[in-house]
Amino acid sequence: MKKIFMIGILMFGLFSCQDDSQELNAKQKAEKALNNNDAQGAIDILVPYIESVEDDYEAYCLLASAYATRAGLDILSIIQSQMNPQEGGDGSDDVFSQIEAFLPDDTSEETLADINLAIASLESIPFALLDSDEKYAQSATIQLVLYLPIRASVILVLIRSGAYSTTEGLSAILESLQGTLAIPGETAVLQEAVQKTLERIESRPGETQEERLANYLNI
Amino acid sequence: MKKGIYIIYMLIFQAIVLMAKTHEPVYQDPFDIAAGGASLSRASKEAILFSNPAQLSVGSRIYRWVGLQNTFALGKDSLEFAQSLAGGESEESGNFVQQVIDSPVHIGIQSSLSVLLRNMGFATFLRAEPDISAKAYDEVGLPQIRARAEVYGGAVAGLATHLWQQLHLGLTLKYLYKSEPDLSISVADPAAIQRLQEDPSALTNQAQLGQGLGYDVGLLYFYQGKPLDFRFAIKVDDVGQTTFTKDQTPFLQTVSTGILLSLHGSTSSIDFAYDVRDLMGAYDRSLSLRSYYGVKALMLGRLGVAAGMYEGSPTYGALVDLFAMRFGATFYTREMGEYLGDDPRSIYLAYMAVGW
Repeated sequence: MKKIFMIGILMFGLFSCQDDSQELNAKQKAEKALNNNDAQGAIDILVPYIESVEDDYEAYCLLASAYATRAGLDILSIIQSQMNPQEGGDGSDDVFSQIEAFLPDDTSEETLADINLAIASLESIPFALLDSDEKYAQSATIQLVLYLPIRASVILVLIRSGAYSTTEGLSAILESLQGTLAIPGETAVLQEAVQKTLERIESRPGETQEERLANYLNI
Repeated sequence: MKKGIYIIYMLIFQAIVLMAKTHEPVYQDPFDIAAGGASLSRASKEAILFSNPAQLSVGSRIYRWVGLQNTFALGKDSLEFAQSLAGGESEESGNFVQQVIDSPVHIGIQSSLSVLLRNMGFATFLRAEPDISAKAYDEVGLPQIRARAEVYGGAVAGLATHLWQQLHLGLTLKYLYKSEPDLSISVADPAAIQRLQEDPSALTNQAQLGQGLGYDVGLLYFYQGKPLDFRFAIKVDDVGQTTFTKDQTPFLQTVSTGILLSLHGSTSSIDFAYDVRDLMGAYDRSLSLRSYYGVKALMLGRLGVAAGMYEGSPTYGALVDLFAMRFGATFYTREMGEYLGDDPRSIYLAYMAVGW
């Protein structure tokens, strides 16, 4: 009896003293941080992870989301407004009007810097891999289609506030809008809006695309 | 020499434990769950057949139980979700997804009809628990909705005998129906939603009930003293693994162990139990998600209260036994995700049993 009792007590002690925390991998930790509204925590985990494992493309997508969240974007609201165009935005097919409602109130150069980092993270995935059924490819294309026009809208806000050079800004806006159309996959609502917006810009007077864009935007 | 044997034993055991993960039984008694789900050494009524059939041959009474038990499960957050639905807050799909993120939906039912005698028992059961959850960021950084369900049913028969002195051996034969549909859809991928609407076979295939035949073997060492009892259990679930038709995933073979100390009088008792399931790590889960421990107090054979830790989260509950009827309620939290804190679901259980 004593021996069996001892075994039981030892077992109990053994189990109780075990490290019972499962070791989460970096992506799980980052995902958990993001879902706990800790975008900076997710970035701090993912940046060194990506440096050590360069071809984990899911991590690039997660990092892009973290930067976009740190920028103040509510990804869920933006995505849902695109899936249900009558909800959110102003119902217009002008891409700037569609996005304006989702930009943070304190849009600044820091916002732009974070969105640029999100785009850069996604552009680290080889372009040829984006046109596949892999989950990371679908996420990357969806996010790029969101962030490129958002970058254009943020630059517009900064131009209007005087925080961004108009000449450089107009070129950057055009580059972002044209880049949106180059993203492979099924055409998204936002891509259609970008297409229509670019067609309207083309119909405006001006010798260069930048002049026509400035005319369209009244700047 | 004895010390050496102890050390070897502990090292082997520690190595096994470090590799281990957990697997939940297809049927659990709600009062056992209230006590942290530690039931390998001592389970309530029909749950003996699922927890450890070796318990059947413990005790002197030939006739033990015949009865029907019904349990209703409701996720704590489901109440908030229902309130928001009633308030009309989810008319916009945006709100709906956000509400599911904030308040996952979890409901369930469990019924059993069972006969327990000394050395043998039989039960039929059904358990169904659908669950809908969402998160703002999945593993690729986009919002995701997940719909899943656990549906189990079938019949089990248990046999047990005591080998010598205090050692009991039990066997459960089981014929099971099983369906575990699990579908994750990215909110950002309208094409996937449309594909599912056009061709729902992906979901309907998963939802088909598969059938499987399997068996469990349990051992129980039971030392009865006054006023202290000691039990030590080892159980192998789904020996050689239980496979199912209709492409349902098999139940993997798992080895589990548990201990129990019981202080008792003639009509009252207090049990301290600790289980660790899936010692060999077949399901690749952390130790905290394989650990079940708690305390169960029965007073005058009529009133029971219990508390414990179920997969790293607290549990509690109470029951009243009114001769031919039993009523009870349990609260516990179950980890639906991959790791502790990933996707916890707090659940209320209310149950009623009629039997003798």
